[in-house]
Amino acid sequence: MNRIFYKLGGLIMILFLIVLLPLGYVMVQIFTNYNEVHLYEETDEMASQYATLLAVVDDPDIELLVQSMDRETARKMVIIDPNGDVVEDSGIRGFHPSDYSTSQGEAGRFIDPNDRQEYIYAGERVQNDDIGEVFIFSPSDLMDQSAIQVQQALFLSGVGALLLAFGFTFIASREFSTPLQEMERAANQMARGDLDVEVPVKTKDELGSLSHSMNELARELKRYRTNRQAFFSDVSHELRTPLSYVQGYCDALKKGLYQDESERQQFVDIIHEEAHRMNRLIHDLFELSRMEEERFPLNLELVHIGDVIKRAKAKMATDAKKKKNTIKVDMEAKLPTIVADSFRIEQIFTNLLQNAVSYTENGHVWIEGSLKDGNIEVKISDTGRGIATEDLPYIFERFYRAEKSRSRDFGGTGLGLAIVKQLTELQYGSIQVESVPGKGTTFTLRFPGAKEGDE
Amino acid sequence: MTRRDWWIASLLIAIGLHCLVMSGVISASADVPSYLQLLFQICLWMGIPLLVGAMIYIIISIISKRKGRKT
Repeated sequence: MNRIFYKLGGLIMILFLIVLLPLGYVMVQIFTNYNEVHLYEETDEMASQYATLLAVVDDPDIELLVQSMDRETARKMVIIDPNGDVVEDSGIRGFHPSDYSTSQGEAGRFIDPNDRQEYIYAGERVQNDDIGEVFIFSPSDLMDQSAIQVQQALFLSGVGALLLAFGFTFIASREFSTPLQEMERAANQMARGDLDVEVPVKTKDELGSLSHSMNELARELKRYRTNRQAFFSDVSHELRTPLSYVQGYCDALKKGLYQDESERQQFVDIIHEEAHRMNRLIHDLFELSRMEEERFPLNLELVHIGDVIKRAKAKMATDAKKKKNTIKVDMEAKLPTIVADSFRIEQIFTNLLQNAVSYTENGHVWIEGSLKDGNIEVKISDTGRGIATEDLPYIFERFYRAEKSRSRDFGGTGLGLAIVKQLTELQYGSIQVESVPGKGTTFTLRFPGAKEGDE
Repeated sequence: MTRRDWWIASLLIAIGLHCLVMSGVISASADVPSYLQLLFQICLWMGIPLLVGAMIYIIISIISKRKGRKT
């Protein structure tokens, strides 16, 4: 019984009964009252008719009239003279008008002491010197047969209405509870780890929205689980290479497998370099996972993007000189500020410039900044080797390397562009890449300009 | 709802309708045409709230769609 279907159905039925039962009672009451009023009116009307008739009838006919009424109908009659004495009656004994007259007029109820039969009576004054008043008595159960029939009909219709209510309540409860039951089943399935669930979305209301959200949640969890597996696989793969280097060169050092001091120093340098790379890899991974989980603290403030680019350029000047590259900056005058973390913005540009310089030999790197539709657009272009078209869609993915063999030579962890993308999006920006293999690559970043009130 | 559920609900509704029709013809001529006529009229009365509800729902949907377009 502890199910939403029973609770909902039971509640609706109780509500139906709360309305239908008093209504049924009131209907029966109205019908009973109507019957009684109708009987009073009929008796009163008959008394008036007899009063008119008796005013013109001779004495011997009065007795015949009374007898005929007693024989032919269930009604009774009592005629009294002006003194209040009974002149004629059709079987009613012990009736005294003065005893039973009511304040509403000459009408009321009388119980025959002989057979305990209850009557509704009405009296009417007769315009005749010998007769004072005529009383007509209608048995109170005169209309019982038809009343019982109507009451049965009312009862039957009540049962019919209840059954209809049951039927429609059944449909309504099922319709409302089925999606909830399906969601509960899906949630239990998900809790057990089975994420292949699909709750049918049948309506556009809150239930439909909830079903849709559950499906989304299942898909998200599935994606998350796949990503996590891929992440662990990537991480272990990325750590395996430097660790095997470290292990191999440590073994060589331990066993003295080197020819001279310079080779020994070379081994130590390799171990140091790989350890340093692992350290950077772990640091980058930590940062990236924090960004992906949106737990990354940002110190947002108004930032002049031109100043940030100047600082990033200065950092890369030495490396660019070594590779005989030139870096040119062309920023539009009076660019608006953006809302960002200046340290993280600088990290983005440093990373992109570092890539541009690393993959360019004897070439040029340009940084252009302009205002477009209220957004600040910064393009970082180089004349490097470019990126193959098939690699372009994946370059912002974690550990994706366009040149698997060589990128490690540049000291990259394969996380730089993933971090750049995450950082850009965390600071309300977007990043795109275009590249022509052999000619160069352009990264385009867009950040919304700060509005009034942003601080 | 399963097929069994539909059967249960339909049976309850059918018996309920039968009771209503029988109560309507209990004191009148209880022949087949009058039974069917009353059944039709009861269904008509049952259809009125459904029709009114559907109309109100459609009107509200249209209004909210228009509001959605404006915003």
